[in-house]
Amino acid sequence: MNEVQEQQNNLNTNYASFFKRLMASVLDSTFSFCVFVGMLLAGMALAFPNVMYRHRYDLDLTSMATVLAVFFTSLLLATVVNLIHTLVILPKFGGTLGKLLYGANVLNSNTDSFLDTKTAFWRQFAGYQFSAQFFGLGFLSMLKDPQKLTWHDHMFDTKVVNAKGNLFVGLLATLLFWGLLGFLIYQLVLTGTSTFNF
Amino acid sequence: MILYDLDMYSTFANVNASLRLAWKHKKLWVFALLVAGGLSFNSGSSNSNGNKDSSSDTPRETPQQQNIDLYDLEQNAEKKVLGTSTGMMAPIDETRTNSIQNRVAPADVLTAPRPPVIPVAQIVIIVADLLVLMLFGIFVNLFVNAWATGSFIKGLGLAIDDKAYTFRDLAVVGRQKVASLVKFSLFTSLLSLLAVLPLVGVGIWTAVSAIKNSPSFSPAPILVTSLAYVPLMALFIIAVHYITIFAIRHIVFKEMGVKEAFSAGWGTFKENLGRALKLTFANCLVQAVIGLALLISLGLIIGILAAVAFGVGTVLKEATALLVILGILVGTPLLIAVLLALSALAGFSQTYNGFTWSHLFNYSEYERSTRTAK
Repeated sequence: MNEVQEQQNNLNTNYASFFKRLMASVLDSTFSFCVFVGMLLAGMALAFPNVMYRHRYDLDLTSMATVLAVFFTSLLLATVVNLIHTLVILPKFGGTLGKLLYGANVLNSNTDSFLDTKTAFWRQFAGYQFSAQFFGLGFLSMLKDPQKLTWHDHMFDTKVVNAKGNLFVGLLATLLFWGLLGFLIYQLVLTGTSTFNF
Repeated sequence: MILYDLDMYSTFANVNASLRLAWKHKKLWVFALLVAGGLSFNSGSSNSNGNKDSSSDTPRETPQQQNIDLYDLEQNAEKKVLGTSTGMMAPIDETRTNSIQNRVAPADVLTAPRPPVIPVAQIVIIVADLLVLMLFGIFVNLFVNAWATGSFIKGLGLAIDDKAYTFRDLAVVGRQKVASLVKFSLFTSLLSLLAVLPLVGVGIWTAVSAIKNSPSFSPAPILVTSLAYVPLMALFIIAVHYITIFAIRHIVFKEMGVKEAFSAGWGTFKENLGRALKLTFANCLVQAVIGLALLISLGLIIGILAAVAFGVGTVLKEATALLVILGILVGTPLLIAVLLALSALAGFSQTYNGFTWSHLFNYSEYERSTRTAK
């Protein structure tokens, strides 16, 4: 593609802004935490069922081991969910939950198609680590880039463009997930204090 | 390049050129950072306040039992004890007796000691979870590190040849070389593990014999092994380290497979043993100087800040809230700046290191090609 065509292409493409991408990441992180805390709560309810009969457990070796087992199992399951989120949702629908709600799609720069699974893996794992060096300089570099591309976008030939959905929907979803996370954490603390004899 | 026009290789020229190139090619610092970065004891019975026994956290109780009282007496042991202590009195008001008993003495004093309950199922689950999480982390780290290494080495080569490159160009090469570099990494890790195993085996055997107080126990085998084997093991691991330095360059530049690259790396190391050792010494010296310069700079900054903080604190000694706010406002950006500087220094240092070995590798290949041509 020659320079004039590339410039024309840049003008025609509606690239997602820094704020949109940042808030989409925040929403994704909040979603991940909600999944983890939710699983932790469910695990505690399954492991200590007598709590519903106002029964308190002694904080002994068995209980502590049970809590640790619930914690690590929840962490593992949450990791699996995040992996599916990254390697299935992103290539299939063109974005993570956050990006889709905020109205952004991650596309291949050359073909304008959704990413394949391998590129999604490299972009999320290697690319994000790369851009995160020097306090996220790679992410901030998009502020000066004419195509609003980060370092990992340059490396893996991707771009993030505006799509269906809008900022308002995304912000609403973010607030809802924050509320949900707060509620889940509150329930978890409540469960912890009412389950054990301290 | 100046190094290759000389009849003799010069470590000094190598270090000079590498320092200049490392400073010039700051893009490579990020790759360098990624490359460097790169896993019913049973309480016995109820407590005196009558709370649930830990062994009863399996769902045995019914809600009706819960409703009787909050005390928790194990069905077998406590009731027998109750029978013993209150056998003279009949009929027994169980609720009253139990509450009296709990006020008089904790039930665990009266029950026979129970063996500790080891939560085997939970431990198995914890270990399994940790294992899976660790394996996942190692898998991802292995691939990302291999990708970063391939990209970094390619970047070093292009920089030495004064060719232009972008992040994309290096990332593409990194992805192409991932499989070979991952296999190589696993191969060298296995070699190092095999080297350490005999020592571990002897150590375990000695420990077991000592614990069993076996008459045949003697510290002689472990001492002999330590004296004879450990130096050999150390030399082997060091050799593998140097072979790796050259082998990964063979993989990236010469498109070699794992075994071929290992063999070629060994060949390059053998031919350049003296130069490699001199370069190692020179690199240690350079890193020490960089480290010293950093320490002095940090010391100066901290000293100046401490003096300023003392002065400000003396003037504003009553306004602690203001002091705290000032401290945060000044301290936070300063901390970020220091951390950024440290990251940059680490990136520069690793990049410099990479350039020195790439220069030596290139010179070795140049020497071999001129020898072959003759």
